[in-house]
Amino acid sequence: MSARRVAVTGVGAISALGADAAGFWASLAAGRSGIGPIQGVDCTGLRFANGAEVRGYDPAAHFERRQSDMMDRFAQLGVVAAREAVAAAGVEWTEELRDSAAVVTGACVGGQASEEQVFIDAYQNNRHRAHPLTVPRVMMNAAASQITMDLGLRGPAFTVSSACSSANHAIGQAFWMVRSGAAELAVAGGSEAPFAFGHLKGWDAIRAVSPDTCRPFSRDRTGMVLGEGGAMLVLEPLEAARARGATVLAELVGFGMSADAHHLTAPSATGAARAMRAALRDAGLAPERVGYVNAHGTGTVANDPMETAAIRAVFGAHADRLAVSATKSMHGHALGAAGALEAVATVLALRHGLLPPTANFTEPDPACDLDVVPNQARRAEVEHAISNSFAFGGLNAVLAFRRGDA
Amino acid sequence: MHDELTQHVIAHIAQTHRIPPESITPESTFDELGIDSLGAMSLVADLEIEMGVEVPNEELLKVKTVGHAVDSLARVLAAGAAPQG
Repeated sequence: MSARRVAVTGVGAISALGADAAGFWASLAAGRSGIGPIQGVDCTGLRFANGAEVRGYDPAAHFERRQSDMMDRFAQLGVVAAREAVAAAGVEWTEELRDSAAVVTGACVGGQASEEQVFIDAYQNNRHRAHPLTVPRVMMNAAASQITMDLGLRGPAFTVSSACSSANHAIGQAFWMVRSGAAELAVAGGSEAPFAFGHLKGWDAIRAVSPDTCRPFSRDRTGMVLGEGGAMLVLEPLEAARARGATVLAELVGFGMSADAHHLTAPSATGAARAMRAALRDAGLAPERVGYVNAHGTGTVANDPMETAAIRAVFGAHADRLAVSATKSMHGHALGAAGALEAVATVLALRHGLLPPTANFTEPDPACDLDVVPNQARRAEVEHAISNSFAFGGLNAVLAFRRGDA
Repeated sequence: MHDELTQHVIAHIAQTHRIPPESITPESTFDELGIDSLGAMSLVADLEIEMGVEVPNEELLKVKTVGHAVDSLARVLAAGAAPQG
């Protein structure tokens, strides 16, 4: 059987940039950052106090209390995004389609707030028993499981955890399942809610988090800024999408992975480059046909020059004609949801012919000498784009997209 | 017995599970209310946390009716209050 082409027919996003994909895109297009003072956690004693939180989120607006009680915030954000993506895709459900609909989610740190609560109860409040829902709230696959139950999807379903690459690995697995015929539709993406004090202490200690804001590729960048959110894509065979008259937002055409096998936190340009090449090879795409790269672009001292070198290694002279932007400057680094937010950003950039900028950009860094679309979105009809994710632990995953219907 | 506590527990169940409070009595089993064992344990846990008490594990597993839950909570509340009284 020849491989099927795979369409993205719906996207959903809840993030610091808004409660839905439209709000997310409006902020990206305006170059408006969602980074601000963290409100959900008292950051006294931490070296940073800014984050990209989902503001004004009310579980009761989305769930019955008995349903939201079962879920940590990270799972709720995943379900909210999945519902939006499926509604936007206008999927016509049959029992047969439900039986072969996959759900693949990425998550890096799981139910942190719920985990923190059980530790507070046990160590601080000396309670003898944890809340009975602790484990189902904390478990990394909670979002995937809740999405299957909420939407009645009964095909392959699982969660991928590969730190900051989780969502790209998840979307990639879902893509390959739809392409091969192992699934007839997939809801894929990621969700994360890392704002719990104990967890933030961990980030504080690793010293990768900026004390002010995220300035990817700027000479004076000072690190990443944590974010939270959920983002999901609906993937289905291109032919099926066309047959039912669905809008093809974009095509997912390639997926590549690699491991640095190098260092736990210091990234390697050769590993990143191999993942980008693998994605292009999987897509059957010459590097010269790519016009936009949604960078991993964390704004850390280590990532940005490494990523620049990797892009130069893969694209050669064409690197100077590429637009490369880091949307983490706006939606923050949402860890296991990051790749999904960036996939949505990439799909919408292709669809709208508008490349979101690298916000908070101040001055060029000779070590990051790419066209990083500083501060202002740019009109550009781009045919192909890639979206990079490189994880702590050296696990890399890259997605390649083609523009969809006009 | 425990009228106020009974009303409080019923109000909590009504609110979290969207059940009309007038249809909940101390004799109602959680099963009849459509609340499974995990849901029942979760309800009691939420009330324990709110009240700052803990029902012993062995008792928690035996809670089948709203009245059982009220009695269990009343016992630990009384035990907690004992030193002052």
